[in-house]
Amino acid sequence: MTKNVLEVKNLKMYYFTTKGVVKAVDDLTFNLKKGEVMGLAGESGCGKSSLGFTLMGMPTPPGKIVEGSIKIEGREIVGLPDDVLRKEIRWEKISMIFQGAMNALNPVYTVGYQMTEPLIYHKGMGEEEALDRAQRYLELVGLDPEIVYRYPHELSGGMKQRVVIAMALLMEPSVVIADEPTTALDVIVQAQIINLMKRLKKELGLSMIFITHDLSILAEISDRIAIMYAGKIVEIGDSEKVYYEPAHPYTQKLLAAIPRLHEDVDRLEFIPGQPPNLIEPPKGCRFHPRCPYVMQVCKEQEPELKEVDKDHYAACWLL
Amino acid sequence: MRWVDLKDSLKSFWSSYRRQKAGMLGLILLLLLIFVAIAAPWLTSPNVPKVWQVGNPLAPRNAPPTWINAFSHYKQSPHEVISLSNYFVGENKSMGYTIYKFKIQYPFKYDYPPKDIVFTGLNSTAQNPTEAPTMSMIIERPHEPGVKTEEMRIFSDVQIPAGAVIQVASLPAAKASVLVWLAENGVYKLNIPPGVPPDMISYLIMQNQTLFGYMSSMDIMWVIFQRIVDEKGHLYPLHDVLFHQTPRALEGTYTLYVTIKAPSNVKVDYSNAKLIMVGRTYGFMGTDQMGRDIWADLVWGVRVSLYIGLAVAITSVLVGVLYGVTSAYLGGWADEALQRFNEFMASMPIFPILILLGMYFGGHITINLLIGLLVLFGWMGTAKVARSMALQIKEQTYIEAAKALGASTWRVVFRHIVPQLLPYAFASIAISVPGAILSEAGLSFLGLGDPTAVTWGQMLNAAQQNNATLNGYWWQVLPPGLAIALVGFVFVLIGVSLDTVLNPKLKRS
Amino acid sequence: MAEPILKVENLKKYFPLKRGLLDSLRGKPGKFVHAVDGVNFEIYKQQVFALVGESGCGKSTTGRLIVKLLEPTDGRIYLEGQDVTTITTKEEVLAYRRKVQMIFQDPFASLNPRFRIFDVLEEPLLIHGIGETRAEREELIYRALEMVKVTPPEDYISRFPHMLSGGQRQRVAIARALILNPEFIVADEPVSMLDVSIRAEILELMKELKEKMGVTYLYITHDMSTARYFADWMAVMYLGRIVEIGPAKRLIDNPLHPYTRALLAAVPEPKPERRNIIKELPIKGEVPSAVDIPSGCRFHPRCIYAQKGLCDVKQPQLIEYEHNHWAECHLVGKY
Repeated sequence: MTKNVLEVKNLKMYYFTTKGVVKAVDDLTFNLKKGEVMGLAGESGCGKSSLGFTLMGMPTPPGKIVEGSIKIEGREIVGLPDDVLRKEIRWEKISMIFQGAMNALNPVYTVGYQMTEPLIYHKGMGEEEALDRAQRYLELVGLDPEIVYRYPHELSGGMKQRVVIAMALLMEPSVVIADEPTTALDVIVQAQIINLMKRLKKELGLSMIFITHDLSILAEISDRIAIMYAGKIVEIGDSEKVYYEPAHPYTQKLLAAIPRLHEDVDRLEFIPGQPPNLIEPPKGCRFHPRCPYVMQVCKEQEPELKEVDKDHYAACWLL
Repeated sequence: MRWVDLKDSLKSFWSSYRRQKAGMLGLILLLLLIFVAIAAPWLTSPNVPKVWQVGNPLAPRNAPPTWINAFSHYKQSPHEVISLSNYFVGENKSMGYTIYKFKIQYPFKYDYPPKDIVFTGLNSTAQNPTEAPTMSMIIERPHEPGVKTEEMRIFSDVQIPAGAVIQVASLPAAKASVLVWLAENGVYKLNIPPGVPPDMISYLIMQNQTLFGYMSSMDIMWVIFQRIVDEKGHLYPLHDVLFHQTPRALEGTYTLYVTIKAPSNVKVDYSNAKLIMVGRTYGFMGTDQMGRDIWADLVWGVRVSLYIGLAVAITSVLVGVLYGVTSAYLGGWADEALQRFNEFMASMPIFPILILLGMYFGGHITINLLIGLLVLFGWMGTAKVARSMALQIKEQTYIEAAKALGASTWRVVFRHIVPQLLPYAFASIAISVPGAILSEAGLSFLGLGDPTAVTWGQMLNAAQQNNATLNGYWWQVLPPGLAIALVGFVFVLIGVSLDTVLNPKLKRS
Repeated sequence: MAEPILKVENLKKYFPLKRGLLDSLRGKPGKFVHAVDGVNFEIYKQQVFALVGESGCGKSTTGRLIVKLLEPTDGRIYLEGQDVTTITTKEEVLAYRRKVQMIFQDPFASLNPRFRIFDVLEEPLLIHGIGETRAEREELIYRALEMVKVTPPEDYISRFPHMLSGGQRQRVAIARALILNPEFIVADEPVSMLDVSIRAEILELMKELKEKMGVTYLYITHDMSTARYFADWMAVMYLGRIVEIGPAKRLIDNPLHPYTRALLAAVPEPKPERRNIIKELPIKGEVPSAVDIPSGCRFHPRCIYAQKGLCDVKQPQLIEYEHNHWAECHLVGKY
């Protein structure tokens, strides 16, 4: 059995705002195996992006990790001081491909400068060595290595996205978190980027957490899928099982809401209502106010993740 | 733009502003300043602006504040105004005259006596000088061992026509009387033939060459308020007594007996009559070279300075916002032209031009003209920012949506764009107030402001003309200077808090 | 077939590029962005016409030209047979705006954050002088909110947009467009910013309103899947021109133009069993700038089938290859 590169246990990350405590990530447990891509899906505001930043050890203020553990290759990172995180963990063990890559690059520096700066200052690499490595990785993501001398505004959206991916891979991290890496890209560029990520996964054996709201994109790349709703994982498992035999009503509804390109659908499903307020989430199952199969028990007790099938878990009282 | 827009934006603004500690402090201070500005006539007196122009001859000049006594070894007597009517003790009629009597207790515990005792404000129905009331004053000194008579006649039967001011220190009759009293107590010898009436004694003194010489230069206030006997019980020599060479003041309670005598058919109104102990120190903040009360001027200065500051800030921000929004909305060539004009105005060396204009108006510039000039050169920054904000808002989808609905230009500008600029306008006003006040102060200091207006700049200008710093009259320089600094501080507190509240990038959750 | 409600003829919109001072002094000719470069189509009553393409292809500009937020450089737009490119008076424009309305992509940006929902919906009524009294207008506003299922209306009219969810905001934006009872609505990516679960709901609502109120839609989108679901007709745009046009399902199931094929191949599908297959994308390079349009067929530099001496020289024309199915390509059926 392949070993886990990332083990998350009972992780809680709350935002302490003036209006109250927002339970953005509430008691999550999951593992990521080496060479595996786990897709993380959910509607906006379900806590999926918050989870990404939390795994990097940098929850967005005023967020704080309240409880739980994050182990990367067996090393606990919750509670590590910031300078240790910065020097030894971030980018080296776990890195991130940011949402809105267009803005992740600084327009006043060349691509090469931005890529080599952390290598030189944090890793004590020589300038030439760093530049060499940057060029190697740019080639790997399908770009001309000469791009190191260009400025971000000279590149197209797709090229910038590739640069950002190369930057995330630069330190050969054990885990890469891709946070909506293809939103804001056009369909064709998006398909090209997904092809690139598939290739990288194959060639480098990349372990990745792929966060997006788009279940179609997720299906293109994920080995396993976790569906988040209101700060919790409601279903997790092998992606074929989740797509073809969804166990949780939320997953079922979400999949039924996607219009298909080559199929005729009479009526698309939708989920009435809106995601709950995470300051005071509903009692019991958090999905119960929108669930068509709601029962009395759903309103009172919170369901635990149950094994539906081999490597397929869902949290629902119907099971 | 409607009232509800304003109300809503103010409401949401207030709920976040109240969390700013510095801002609340600034607001409280500002309210205090506004209160002072409004209450100035009651806090001081309504004739301060008039006094500003003519000065106050009854007050000491360049007197430091009274509280400096607490810090200095020698105590100087403060300025005191005694209202005579409070000390009325009775009247009696005899031989067709009415005599009004007043008795005043004056506790004296200083090392330096008052500069003068002034009597003023007596009115009567007298038609001609012969009917005018007359006045007498006797001072009963505290007991001093070795002194025979404590009672000292100052003057007798001095005629007081309407509006007359009697200044004891320079009254020849008083000087003569004091010399007589000294002779009576044996400080020097004066041969008085027996049976000579008191008025004639003064006449005798004036006949004496030496004494007559002393009279022109002696300071009777020192004689009245000092000891004439030394520690060993010897009388001081006359010269020492007259020219305050004696080391010690006589402390204790002095009683002033004032009698006013008038023909019975003449009505005497003493309700406004005042006895002024002209001090060597004055009030809370001292006086300037024209005897003007610095405290009163400072309080009135809040009024004018705030008026100038707010008027300039509000008008120039309004002009700036409208200019900026117009420029942004029109776009194209109009925008280009308006922006170049803006830059032209912004590149003008404002202060030198204001100085030239001030000189052109010959120092007779009025406050409102000054406000106009400061607005003329003060709207450009706001216009730039307002334009860029309006440009941003103009690109918002909801503006496009409004246009798609058929909204007119007027509607887009006043319903959609301007309300969004209101918060910025408020902040901008707060931030530009101190600048306007400083500009006015600067111009006034240079003598180019409105000389009839009581402003802090004018006060500084007066101090400058008086060489206040060279003469050590710090009380003429520091208060207006600090007041300007305070107002600046208040508006900076408010402005910084407004910035935090209104600029989402600085906002903390 | 019936008369089209909207007809667009040879529509062009060029945006001038800002020239430097030196260039304009030298008298260099100004450059233009050819955002829309000769577009023709017809839309029939109570149908949904989808305009599909990547960003920068000119689909949004076309929409804005139709609602007269922009004036065309050339070409004609006819609404019910009347040429609307020539109308200029305020009254005529207002009358046109009552008939043609727009729904925008981002419901977070299309509502003024300082307007209460009541103000948002009252604005069109005030502009067009509908409803004499506030009570009358309130009545209309309540009806509009009920129509888009923001109920009960009294709970919402005094809220600000930020107090509503994304879906509710888009409903309010739809209500704002519908309150004028328009005949034609340009919907510019109305669901692309919304969550999947809400997307379907909004599309359903728009479908329902089409039946109830007899409106016709121009649906601008980059998403082929929702276009198939929602639209009757579909046109694919590339660099300012329509390269293929036809009934939506027909066009997706049997694409004629190589660009359409590439677009369709790029659409991700929720089929995880294909996760390890690297998709073949029949396209190369990147979208060229709309300033320097390639010669001949504007798609030829990216086309994997392009023939030298033909595609790079001769501009193809829209030709009806099947019944009602047109494409602008020299090589249809030959590659």
